[in-house]
Amino acid sequence: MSRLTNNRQNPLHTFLNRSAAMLGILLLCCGTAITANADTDKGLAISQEADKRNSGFVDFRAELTMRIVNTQGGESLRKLDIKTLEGVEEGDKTITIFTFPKDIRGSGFLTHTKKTTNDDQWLYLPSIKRVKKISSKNKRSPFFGSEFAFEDLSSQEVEKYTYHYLNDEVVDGLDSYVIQRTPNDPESAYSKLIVWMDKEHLQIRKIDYYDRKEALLKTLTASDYTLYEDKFWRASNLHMVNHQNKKQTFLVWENYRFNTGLKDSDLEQPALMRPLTGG
Amino acid sequence: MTFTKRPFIRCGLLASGALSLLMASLVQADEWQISLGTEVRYFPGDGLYENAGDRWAFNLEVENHWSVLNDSDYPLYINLHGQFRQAAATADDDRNRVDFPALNLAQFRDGWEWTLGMDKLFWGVAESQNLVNIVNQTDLQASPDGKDRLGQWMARTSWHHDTFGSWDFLLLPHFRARDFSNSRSRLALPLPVLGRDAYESGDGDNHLDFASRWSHQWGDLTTGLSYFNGTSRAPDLQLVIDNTHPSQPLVLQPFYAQIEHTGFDAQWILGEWLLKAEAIYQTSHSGHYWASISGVEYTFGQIMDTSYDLSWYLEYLYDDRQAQAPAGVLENDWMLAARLSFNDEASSSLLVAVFRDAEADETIVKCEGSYRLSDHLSLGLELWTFATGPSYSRDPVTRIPAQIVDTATYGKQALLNDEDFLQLSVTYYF
Repeated sequence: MSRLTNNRQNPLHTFLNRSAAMLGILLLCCGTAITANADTDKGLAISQEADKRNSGFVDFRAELTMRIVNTQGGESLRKLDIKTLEGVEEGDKTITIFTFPKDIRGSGFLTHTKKTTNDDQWLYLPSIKRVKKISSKNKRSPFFGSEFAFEDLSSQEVEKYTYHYLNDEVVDGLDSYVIQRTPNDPESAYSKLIVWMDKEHLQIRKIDYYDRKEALLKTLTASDYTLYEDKFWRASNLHMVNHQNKKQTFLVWENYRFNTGLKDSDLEQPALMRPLTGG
Repeated sequence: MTFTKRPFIRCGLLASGALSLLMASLVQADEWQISLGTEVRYFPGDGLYENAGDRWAFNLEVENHWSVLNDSDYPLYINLHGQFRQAAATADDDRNRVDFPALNLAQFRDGWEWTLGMDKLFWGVAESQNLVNIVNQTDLQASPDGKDRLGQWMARTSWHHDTFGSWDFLLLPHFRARDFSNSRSRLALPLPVLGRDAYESGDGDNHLDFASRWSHQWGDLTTGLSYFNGTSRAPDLQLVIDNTHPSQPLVLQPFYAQIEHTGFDAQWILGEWLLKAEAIYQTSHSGHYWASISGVEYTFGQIMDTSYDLSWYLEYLYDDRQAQAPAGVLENDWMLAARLSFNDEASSSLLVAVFRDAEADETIVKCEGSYRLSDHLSLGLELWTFATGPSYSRDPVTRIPAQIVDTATYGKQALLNDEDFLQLSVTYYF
């Protein structure tokens, strides 16, 4: 970890020292500002390009298996059905329904992602058939005992972060960009995310999550990318390790189907109340 | 079994085999959801009739969904969800229950949907109680808080639109009366409840009720307006003389009035705060009243750097009938509750709620916990304590419990005073 940290800070430090020596305080300020802007622009441009390449999927459905491993090696499984409809004006709409364990089968979430304001989020409890609109301020909370927080699993709209290109690195043998994402929402659990994205397909290979105290909290690695519809890359395996509590969560995505004809009405509250029907 | 000797059975098997093949191509079934559970209630007190020990019951729950017309854009769904409860002791047989939270046909097309059959729906926003939740009958045998509901026959159509909101229209053809505990059971009333219900409507339990609701979202504000016209789900318990039991002629008879019930509910999300309100206005032959619940919910996420979430609830319940409100109604009470969600693999959670009358010396405490032992086994815990003022006593002359006559002295919850209980439940999911 320390190596990566140094890599990120070195160019800036070198620049600062040189600038201060040569041009004095005033110019230094301008200089850092210009450099920062250039890196911000590049970081944003790469992220926008990644988003652009992933747009136009219209909708997808998939099954997700979540395996939670605690420090003693004990495991528990969750299975979820996911339906996502791509957003045009606003963010994506996603319905997540639990199918396993059986005691929470049929429980679900509906999220209408917003680009700049808080997401709309509803929770459905099948035992009393209640739909409850919940505050999306709980985004920091772990998703059902996993090492993923709600915000990790929600649609990663470009507008939700400020970007800063750091440097290039080789990850998994792939030439990659290293980009720092700073959440725009002060309620986020993270002070920053460091994202490794391969240059050819702009696939996220790895993310380091830093907590509010700037300490490394979690690392996500994504692998087994598969190409769907000749256009959309999706990682089949995601692995999140929490460095602070040493717990791990593995996600396996299966049975991806694109362009399944989901309608807007399939991603509204009434649809949340019929999770096990409606196809 | 040999087929040659039993041609009738062979033909039957062939026919049913062909039928199921045909059905399989037209009908798509979900997998069966089956759970089997047992619950035990422990009552430390003697109860009204001093004959009540611990209570065991077994629960079976089955659920499946089928779809037909799968080739069309709008398949037809058949939903089945059955709940069966069997009490272990015959003294507890009023807790036996067959219910269908869902037994219906349904179809969805774009913003529209319709349902025909038995179904359950939820209206409301509050945590303590839901005044506006009028359609389904309350299942007091499941829990004293009245949040458990029974399936209701209905023809329902709904329309959901981003701009115009959600509209619900329901015709409710058959009424299900409330189940009361008999005098040998716990959480019983101080007098026997007559098995024969009385209705204001000449149609009895077949009066055609009507209900509708409109709800809309305005950003973080959600509002709902509802209207119900028909048989009151909550009976008035009337003191009548039943000559078939000369030794104890005084009994209570549930009387179901015809009511008009208008409801309003709203929830406003302000960051971590949820502001909630429910209000109803009800008219019947005996007059009119209004009642409300207003409150807040606040969630501390990840308290003390753990993964635990802690939610606080504060609600005020008001009923303008005050002293005239029936026993059991929280007419001027506060509820303070906290829910701790552990966000662990076992989905553990713990809720503690304290109800306190603003004037009378009445306190009710409810604890609810759940814990998943394994992928198939869940554990539930419920604890109720009632500290509701002067203890129960019967008037030695009239044999009429004083509480019925004098709720002003004894308060509205006095009947529950000796009914503290602890319930443990274990459920196995196949």
